[in-house]
Amino acid sequence: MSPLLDLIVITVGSPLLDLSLLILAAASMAFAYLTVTYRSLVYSSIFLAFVGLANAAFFMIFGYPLLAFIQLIIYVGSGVLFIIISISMLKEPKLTFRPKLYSWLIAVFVAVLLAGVILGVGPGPAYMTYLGVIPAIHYIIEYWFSLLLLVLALSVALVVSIAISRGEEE
Amino acid sequence: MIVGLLFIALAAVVLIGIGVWGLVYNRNLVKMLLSLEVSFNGITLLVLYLASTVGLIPVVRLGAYIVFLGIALAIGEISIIVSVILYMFKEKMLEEISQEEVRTEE
Repeated sequence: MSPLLDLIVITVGSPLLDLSLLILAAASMAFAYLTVTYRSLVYSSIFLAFVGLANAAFFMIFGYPLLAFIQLIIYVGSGVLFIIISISMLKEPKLTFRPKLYSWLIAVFVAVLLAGVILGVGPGPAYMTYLGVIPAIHYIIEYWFSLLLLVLALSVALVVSIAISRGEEE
Repeated sequence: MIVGLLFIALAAVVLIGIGVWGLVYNRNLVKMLLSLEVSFNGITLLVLYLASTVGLIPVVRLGAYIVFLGIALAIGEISIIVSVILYMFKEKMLEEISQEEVRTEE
């Protein structure tokens, strides 16, 4: 293990774990309060996304990595983003493209940074491809009923949402 | 018992409280939905806490199943309720959202 990872790793029962849990809990509560009381709906939704992120961290600490990923990908990634985009579309604001120098500088910096990371890491060994398959199959076997209900619920929600949206045009 | 886990229970209870308070306090439909989602996050946290540490839910895995199903149902609920709210705004069934509520700083 690298020295950097040694610094990051926290053991169960350590004061560092307690401190990180305290910070997470405080951040979660603060973001929840902002979600409810902030005047702008868009910012409220963004604060709700932060509450979801804190919850995902709690799930990971509890030892449920799959739930944490589901929370991140499905709840924060699709659900909260759906709310944000829907609210943003309510008023159909005029989009004006105003390029600024520092925005281009930030974009170039991020691109160079990503290119450096990708080139620095290089292609992984071939066996890494198979490592992710075994936990995936394990999760599918263990959570098959939940996954089935997830697919059914999301399909029904998709169909109803499309039906409601089509009803707007008529 | 890890002291830090009590912070999680505290956060869960406070999230539920804030969500319920927001549900009663706000009159805007979108704000009420967001408050409901805050309390939903608190409830998922509380269910996992009860399943993992206190043992009130007898099977530990059951807590994960409940939260899994809860997240799936919450996403379905969000998509349908937001669509209905948008439809109601388009059909002028609701009051206009003020420009200030949609975006504050330009």
